[in-house]
Amino acid sequence: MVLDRAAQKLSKNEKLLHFEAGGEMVRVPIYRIRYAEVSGNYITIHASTDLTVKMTLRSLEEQLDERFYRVGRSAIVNLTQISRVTKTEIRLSDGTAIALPRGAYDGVNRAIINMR
Amino acid sequence: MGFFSKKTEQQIASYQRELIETHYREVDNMYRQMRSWRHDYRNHIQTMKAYAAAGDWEAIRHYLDLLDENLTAVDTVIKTGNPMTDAILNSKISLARSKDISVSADAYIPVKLNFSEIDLCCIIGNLFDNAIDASMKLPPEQRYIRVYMDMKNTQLYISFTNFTAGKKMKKEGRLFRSTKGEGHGLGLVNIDAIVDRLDGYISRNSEDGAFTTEILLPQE
Repeated sequence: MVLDRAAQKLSKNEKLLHFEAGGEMVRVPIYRIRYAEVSGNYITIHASTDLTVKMTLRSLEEQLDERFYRVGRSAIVNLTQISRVTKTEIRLSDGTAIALPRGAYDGVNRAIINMR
Repeated sequence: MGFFSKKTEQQIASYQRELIETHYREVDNMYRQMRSWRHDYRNHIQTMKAYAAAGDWEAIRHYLDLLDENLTAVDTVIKTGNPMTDAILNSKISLARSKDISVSADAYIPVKLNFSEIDLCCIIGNLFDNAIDASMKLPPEQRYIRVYMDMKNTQLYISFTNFTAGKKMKKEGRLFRSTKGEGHGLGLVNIDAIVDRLDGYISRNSEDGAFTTEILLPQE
């Protein structure tokens, strides 16, 4: 049971996403992604380094797993990186503050509670 | 705490004093039980030796059963990793059981809390008291309280569920109206004030036959 879960966790953490940025292929392990945000036609993925790629938030969201939560139109956040949620923002362990749209407060807290 | 009236603050202070006294009584009680066990140990051995010498196996079996029961009573204590939480949970669990409420408690606090233990005890104490009050409206065989505490990543998660005699209740703001009438519901406001101060999250959910409170408290 515990081993199964550990194995599952490992395979989850090892999952890599591939992005094309500046004509180069970049591989990013999913668990390294802290959050991603929209800027115009691009999104910036904050992982070990920051990576700006031309894609939609939705197409990124489809490649991520249940550890990630969509915050309104402009951001996706890794639930395991959240240190606290106030009425107005999500604070991450690295100190980043992500603005919380109206009405999203309960949703993100529920998502944290429902995490395995 | 400027948003409380003087009277409310006094009530909170007296409630907290009461909590601390309860802890001391509980810890004292546990030591007493353990001391009495050590004291009786030699007597138990003597008694069973005597039964053994007489070949009275039935009596030994009976005696062992009694000891087993007795030990279970001493041993059904919660060990969360946080001594003050242990004290309040254990004292509330024994209080609930003395009122014929079955309690299932699963609680782990693997971190050093970053806020005052008094706050946590105030939350747990109030939640437990409310759950006990609600349970008493049910016949004994239907009384049930479930306590669950663990980490959700870096946040402490607390969940209390109790069975209720009532139908789903209506919410007023984020609170349900105190069923104890005007001038009550202090415990609820008290919990909310602590959760707000700690940047935490609280959710209350009323269903037909059950009531759940869930809380997240940031630890980093």
